[in-house]
Amino acid sequence: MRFKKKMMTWTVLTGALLLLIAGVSPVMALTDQQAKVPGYYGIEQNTDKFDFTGMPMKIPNSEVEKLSNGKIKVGMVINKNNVAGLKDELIKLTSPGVYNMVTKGMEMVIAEYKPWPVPKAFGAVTKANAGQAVITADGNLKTKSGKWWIGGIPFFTVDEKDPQAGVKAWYNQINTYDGDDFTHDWVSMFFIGSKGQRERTVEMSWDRIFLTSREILPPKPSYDPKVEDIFFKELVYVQSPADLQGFGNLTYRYNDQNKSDDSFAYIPAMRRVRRLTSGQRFDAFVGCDSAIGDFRTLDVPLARWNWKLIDVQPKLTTLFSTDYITENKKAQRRHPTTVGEKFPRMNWRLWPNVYVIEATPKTRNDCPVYSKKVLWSMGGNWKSGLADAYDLQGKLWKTTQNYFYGYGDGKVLDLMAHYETDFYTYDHQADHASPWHIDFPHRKFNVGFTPERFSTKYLQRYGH
Amino acid sequence: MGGKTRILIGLIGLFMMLVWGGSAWALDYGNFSVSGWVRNQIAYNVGHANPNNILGESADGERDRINTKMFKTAVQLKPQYNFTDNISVFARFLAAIDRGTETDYPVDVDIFPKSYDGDLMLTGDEWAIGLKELYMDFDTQYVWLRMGKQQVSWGQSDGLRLLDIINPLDKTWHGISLNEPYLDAFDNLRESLWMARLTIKSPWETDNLNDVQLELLWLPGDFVGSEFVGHINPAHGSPYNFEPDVFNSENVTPGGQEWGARLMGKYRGLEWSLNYFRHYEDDGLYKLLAVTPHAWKGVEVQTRTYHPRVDSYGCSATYDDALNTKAVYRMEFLYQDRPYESPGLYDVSALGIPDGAGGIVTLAPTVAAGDFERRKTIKALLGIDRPTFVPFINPNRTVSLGFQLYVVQVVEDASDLKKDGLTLNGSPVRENETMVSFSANTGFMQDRINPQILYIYDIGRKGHYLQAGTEFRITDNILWYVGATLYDGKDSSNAANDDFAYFEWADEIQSRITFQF
Repeated sequence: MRFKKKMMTWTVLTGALLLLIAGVSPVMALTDQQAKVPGYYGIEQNTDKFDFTGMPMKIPNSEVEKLSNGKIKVGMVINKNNVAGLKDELIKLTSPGVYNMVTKGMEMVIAEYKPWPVPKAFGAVTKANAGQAVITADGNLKTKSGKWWIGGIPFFTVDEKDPQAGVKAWYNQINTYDGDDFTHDWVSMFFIGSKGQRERTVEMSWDRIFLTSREILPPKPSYDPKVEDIFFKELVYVQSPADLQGFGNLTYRYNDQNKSDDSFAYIPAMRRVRRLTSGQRFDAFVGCDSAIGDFRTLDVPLARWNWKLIDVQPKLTTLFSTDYITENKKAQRRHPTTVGEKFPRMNWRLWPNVYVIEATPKTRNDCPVYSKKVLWSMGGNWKSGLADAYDLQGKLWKTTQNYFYGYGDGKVLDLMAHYETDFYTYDHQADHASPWHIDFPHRKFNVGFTPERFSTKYLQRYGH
Repeated sequence: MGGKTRILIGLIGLFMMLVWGGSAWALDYGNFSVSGWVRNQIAYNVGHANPNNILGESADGERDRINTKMFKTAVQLKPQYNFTDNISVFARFLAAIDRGTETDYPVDVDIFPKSYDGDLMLTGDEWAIGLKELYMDFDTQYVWLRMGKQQVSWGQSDGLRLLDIINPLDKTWHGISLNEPYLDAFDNLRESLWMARLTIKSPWETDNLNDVQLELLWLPGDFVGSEFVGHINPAHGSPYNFEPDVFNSENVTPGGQEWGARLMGKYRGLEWSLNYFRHYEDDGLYKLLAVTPHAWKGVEVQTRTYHPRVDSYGCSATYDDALNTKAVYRMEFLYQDRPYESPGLYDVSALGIPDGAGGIVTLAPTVAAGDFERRKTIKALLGIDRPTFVPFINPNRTVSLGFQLYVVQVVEDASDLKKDGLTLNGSPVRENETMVSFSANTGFMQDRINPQILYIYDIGRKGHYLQAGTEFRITDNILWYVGATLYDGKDSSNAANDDFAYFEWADEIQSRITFQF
């Protein structure tokens, strides 16, 4: 009986201590502002390592005013109090989704233009392979000799009048610089309610290796000549909350754009790798507002969608979106927000030639939830910053964004890695948001992964 | 501890969870991390009294129903230390107490498993504290070795076990409805075993053949700290007991080694595995020794439980038709020359249950130990997983639909096998057993509300099983599941058969609240 009593006491005391430590540890973490690394510092200090081809080095601040009938100026903050008088100009320079978000409380800091280059080694591959890319009858990207694409931007110049301009601009987006592999050691996914309150948090890691289209690390352009059908392999594994801890997902992405991914998940409670169907790409990912098909604003087998170029326009984009980023693992990874944590408060900068594309699924089977997505591919750096998605009735439903921070400083952060402060989705109809924050110090490009890591063996070993 | 005190402690605990729920996380200090949970599970009987608990009858001869079948509180801690990227050690500790014991039973009954000899030791009669898992990983590019007490799960089925035969199950509670993840995860129901697991990944890949691996398992048998463990059945008198409380069985523990191999990979769109496991039968087979009078049971059946050798051969495959039907197709197959009890080994139906001092039947053993009947048996499963958007239910989230067809077939003449009465596993031989299952789940409000349902229909015996419930994610740290398990069918009176109808007495509603960190 005495033993039993003692056991009870120690159990309660240990439990209380664990709760105390667990509760206090986040409070002791640093804020973003305690470790400041400006996003363009690395580029400015190492211009010889970057290639600025295809973009102006400077655009005068007056250009924004000119494009907005003098209503939008560099340095101003657009918010719900002043947005009414800017409606047409703001929609023209961004999108209907962004305008609606500002009316609901988002703030946009208008900042000066900065070029977004690519590493020189990547630019050199683009130049070496220029003119080699073709789109085959079945919608795939290959070289003129019939091989899968060998790296770099395939269509660096896209003629607006080309009937394939839309799909070419999107193939450029897919092949934009991402390193030959990368790791994000800590990605925090937040679920934010209509009042800005955080409802859920999921933390995970994300690794990828490209097996073809390799530009930097040997072996290149493909890792193994016997495995050239696979574009990349990807591992995502969850660190918290505890009931999802150890859950891992292994994905094979194929070069054939008529094919869907292969996807395997390790489920710790079952101690088993289960095959998942990758057919429903628009199912909410872990319940958040984004789906796998929304990643990078639209992530689908290209040949199953139609890509129509609507226009090429100057737009306000989210390149170099924050002034400072976190460099400390223990930091809270908090960025400026408004309406609680609902809307990021970020810099918006002019980009001169954004390819605006209307993407529609070829059949309802390819996307049962959206009628269309209107998305961007920024000419020159070919990154996509934004997409507005419309439901089957044609009503605006979701806006998906990438907020790009910049390249690393070459000291604390990897110079050859570019950073996204948030992958962000806002559900206009539910007034709900899902920002994903990436822990910068643990994002690295060109790590030197081998394909063996991207196997079900690793899923089981990591997931326990 | 009185009821009011218990409620007060529960409320204080709940309050603490809510206070810390917004900020508490798994601890992560460099190479060391620890996570875990505190959990309370309650099961309340809405069925009949368990007919297998023969005592505790009231004056009218009716068996009293145990209402609160479970009131279990458990704490789990999962510490992990990474020596390097390639070497790590992992442990899982579990402590549990169940206050849902039957109060009117003549002897004390612990509902929580008692059989973790040396591993999960009972402290007093109530607290069970033990090491559920402890292993070390050595991982290189092509070779991964995991040594220690661990769980290995093969196969592709949900809820039903074909190739998932490496670790036995703890059936001491909810033993008749092993349909995870709705009631509890299999990692709590499975008993971890000491073993070495070596996985070798092939360095050669082609566009058609990927991720080829060979997995080898070795279970040392009767070795230091290691011994054979079969399925653990509910204690007699406990709420989940599914055999009459007249047995006093002595377990004959085999001491030999067990080993297995699995070759797996992916060929084009097909993921496949080939499996082999040389092991001992986890269910065990009864051999009758004697029937003796007993003070309050009236009669006690002395038995011995054997675990014969079995060679299991199997395979599994999956195919993802992502672009057209958007479904994953699963297949699993198992072949065994399986040992069965013959009528001479044990036949409870010949005994009858005495209603007083008289009528005791005494039998003598008729068959020598280890003399079992073997029959070639196959088990096969076909499954389809099809997440489907149902816009009027949920525009954001698919409803995950799952269908399974499960067949067990004794492919040799089984007419001379024991077909009535109970075996140790509760299941008499059926030459054919065919079941279908249907499951569905979805998530609302960013998966903070997760309704889920599992239905199984036994075609041959026309029995129904339904598990339905909803999990509420109150915060990231607090999860609450409420649900119900219901059985029904054509014939609920045949105690000899373990069809779903017979288990009507096990109908219950459940609550499971978890604070995780």
